[in-house]
Formats: sequence, structure tokens, C-alpha cells
Amino acid sequence: MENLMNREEIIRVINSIFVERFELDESELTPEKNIVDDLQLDSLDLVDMIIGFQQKFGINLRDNQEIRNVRTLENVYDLFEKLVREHPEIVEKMK
Amino acid sequence: MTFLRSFAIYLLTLFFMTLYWLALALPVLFILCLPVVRRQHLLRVLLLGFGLLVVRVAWRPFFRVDFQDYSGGRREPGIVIVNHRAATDAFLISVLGLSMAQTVNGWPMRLPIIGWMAHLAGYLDITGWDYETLKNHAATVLSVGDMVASYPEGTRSEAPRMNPFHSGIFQVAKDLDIPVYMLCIAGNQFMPDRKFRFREFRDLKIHFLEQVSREEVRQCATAYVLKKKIFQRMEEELAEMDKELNDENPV
Repeated sequence: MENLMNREEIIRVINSIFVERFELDESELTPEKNIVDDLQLDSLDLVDMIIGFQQKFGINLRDNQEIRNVRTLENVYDLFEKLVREHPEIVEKMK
Repeated sequence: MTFLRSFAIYLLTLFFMTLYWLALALPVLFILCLPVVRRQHLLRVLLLGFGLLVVRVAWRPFFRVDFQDYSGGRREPGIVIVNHRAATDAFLISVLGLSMAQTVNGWPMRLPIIGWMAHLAGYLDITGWDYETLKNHAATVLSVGDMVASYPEGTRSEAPRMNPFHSGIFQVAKDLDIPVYMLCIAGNQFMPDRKFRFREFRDLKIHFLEQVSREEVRQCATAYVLKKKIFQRMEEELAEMDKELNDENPV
């Protein structure tokens, strides 16, 4: 269990994807931010976001319904916290 | 007053439209017999001529257009990003003097004569097509040396501020590895308004900005980064242009 990523680490990794792929400033990335309304990502950008998650976490999110329902960054952090809990191998792949 | 103002400009536009397309009826009939890609290019040239006639002649009694070119003369086929305050933008972009296929929603292509011509000229249906179809049609337009003009706000803003950009056309620029140009149009937010009423007549400014080269397009990690960069540059330019317009001609 101690090998699992904690929430702070997940937030750091998720935020780094937004910084790298969308050149957003770290200070903009607060949990309550709505991905579409506040960060101005449209449907095409969401595809880029999911590709970024897939590459970083080494998982396939194509059939994941929950990723389609995320609205805020908080939702994204929650989802990946759950995914890491359910699939500990994700952390191994990231190492 | 708004009604009279609108009636006058629409009447004059209609008069010149009838005159122009009647005069060119025979060449148009000949062009329609040509292969599709050639036909579309030649019709785009005729639409450019029509746009210039409307902006420089038909609308001259109502307002003037001050066009400034800051692009340094670079004209490789690419995508021209245009801010979108009013329906007149579709005509105003002709001051560039380049034959272009504009991205449009489906409905303008159902307008009599001008809409049909746009359809036949290969204008791009941004809402009716999927991404691959849009990209392939854009590639065909560029292959004959024409530009693609796009309004990534998606709809008229009717205000000095721009609506957020959609990423689709920027993804096309990245996928086709082509330069992007920026055309800023200021002053026409109520010419006409969303109900097609000319609430005012005032002189306009149009600035054609420096090119975003294909190398710079490539360097953007995603379409989002490219659209953000272009949005910021255009926002700065438009603020400056609006300030100049207000100083020269207070409302």
C-alpha cells in the first residue's frame, strides 16, 4: 500500500500534464476550476488531455466512461486517485 | 433611423450583387463546366471580386475601411484567423485581395446567389462536416494556392471582446503543417447586429498581422497552445485598434 501515490503526487502529475500540453500556468490549476468554462478546453482539447493522461499513466482510457464525465480538476484528481487505488500497477509503470 | 440606414445599405448591396452576377453569368456558366478543383478556385476569385466591389464601392457612401498590412508580404497558403463581430466580416476580408474559402455554418450557403456561389466555390461547412472531411477539403483549397479563412469564435460576438476560440481549425493547421495568419477587424460590432440591423455607421480598421510560420505552428505542443497564442496576439491588437477608433471617432 505504501507504494501507492498519494493525492498530492497525483495532483502534481495531473497538473504537469496541463502545464506541458496546454502551457497553462500552475497558479491557474486550482481544484475548483472547470475544465471547459475556466480553462477553455473544447472537445478536441479534451481528446488531447486524455491522450496526455494515457501517455503519463500508461493506461487506456478509451472505454472509461468516468473520464467523459469530469467537469473540474477536482473530478480529475478524484478519478485518478480511484484508478490508482484500483490498479496499483499504474504506479509501477510510471516509475 | 436604424431601419432606413439598414434598408439603404441592403438595397445598394442587392443592386451591386445583381449587377455583378448578371454581368458574369456567362463566365460562371463556363466555369461550372470545369473540373471541380478548378471550378472552385475560379469561383473563389469571382467571390473575391464581388467582396471588393461591395466593400470598396457599394458601402463607400456609408463607411470607409482602413486596411493595414503588417505581414511583410508573406503569402504562403495557410489559414487566416479572423475575429467575428458581425456578418459584414465575410465581405470585409476581401480587402486582403486573396482568394479564399471561408469556413461557414451550413445556413449561409443556402442564401440565394451568394450562398449558392459560396457552396459551389468549396466553402467549408465547419458544423456539418466531421474533422477528417474538413481537413481534406482544407488541403484541397490550399493545394491550388488559395487560403482558408476561419472564424474560430464560432459565432458573431457583437462586442469588442472575442468569444473563446474553438480548437478545430488550429488542429488542421498543425496536421497540414501550414502557416497561420491573423486578420483583425475592429469597429463593426453593430454593423449589423445579430438581428441584421445596422445600428450605426462608422469607419472601420482592418489589420493583417505578422505570419505565424509553420515552424512556430509545429513548436506548439497542441492546438490549444496555438489557439491561445493567436487569441492573445489578436486580443492585444484589437484593443489597440478599438482605442484608436474611439480616439479618432468617439461614439
